Amino acid sequence: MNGSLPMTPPSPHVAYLLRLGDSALINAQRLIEWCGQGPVLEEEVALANLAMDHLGQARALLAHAGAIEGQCRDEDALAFLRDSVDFCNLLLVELPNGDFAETMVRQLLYSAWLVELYGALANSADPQLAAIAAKSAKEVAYHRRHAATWVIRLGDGTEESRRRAQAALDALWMFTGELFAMDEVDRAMVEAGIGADLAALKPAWDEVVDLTLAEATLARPEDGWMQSGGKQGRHTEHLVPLLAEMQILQRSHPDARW
Amino acid sequence: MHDWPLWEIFLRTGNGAAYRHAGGLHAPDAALALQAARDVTRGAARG
Repeated sequence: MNGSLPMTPPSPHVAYLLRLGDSALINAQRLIEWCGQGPVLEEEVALANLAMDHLGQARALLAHAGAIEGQCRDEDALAFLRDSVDFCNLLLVELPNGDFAETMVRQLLYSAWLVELYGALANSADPQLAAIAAKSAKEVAYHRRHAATWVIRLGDGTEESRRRAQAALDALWMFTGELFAMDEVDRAMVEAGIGADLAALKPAWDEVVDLTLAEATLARPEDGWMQSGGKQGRHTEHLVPLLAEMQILQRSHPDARW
Repeated sequence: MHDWPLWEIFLRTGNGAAYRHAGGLHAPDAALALQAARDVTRGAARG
């Protein structure tokens, strides 16, 4: 495996795959943090299952990115030997878990987006990406349903659960703009028939989110100023500690084998 | 959460096959019980 050697910027195709893979990987890492902390055993198993699905998606996407990059970096090198500035995940998924309501609201916002995104990418001109997306679409449809089920019960639940769910929604809303913001990488990939037109996904995402929030009796926050930068490697202060924990084994014992 | 009802899980391998008891779980309502059952039996026969 190669370390984080200075390299030329990745091609748009590689950058696009890294963004998808990194978001899956970081979301998996956050969900794994719930192990041993879940509110009940049944939910602990559910969260671990969600994490495993995202880890599988990350593995497939990063392996594909590494193969196209052609610099002998496999999925492990990309996951464990890059630094925070090289990660291009969405800011939304690197935020701390907060309480159970915040984790579930975040998962709803992200999974509802992934359902639309993977649905579109199943028709990608990159056949490997299309295959990964088609398989992953089934998984994220379940994640969306699971998160929506909980958000509805928390929002339309007790006074405290409702307060926590609304607070989570209000805090996370400014990170939803990045889901639909297109930059030059996105535009190049749409033009090549490989990527998805993110703006075109918004109406379907809006509909699912609005229906869920209505049933949860939660108020959809106003669209204000939106955070962005994760896809370009500009992260919140929360990513570095996450990577430190995720990467420590490989960094301390390079190429360790069980 | 200690007052959540107990639900029993029954799996079958396909339509018409016999149901097999696969343990129990606690959940606040039927919809969440069904989701939790799918999660805790993942790897066993999917019900």
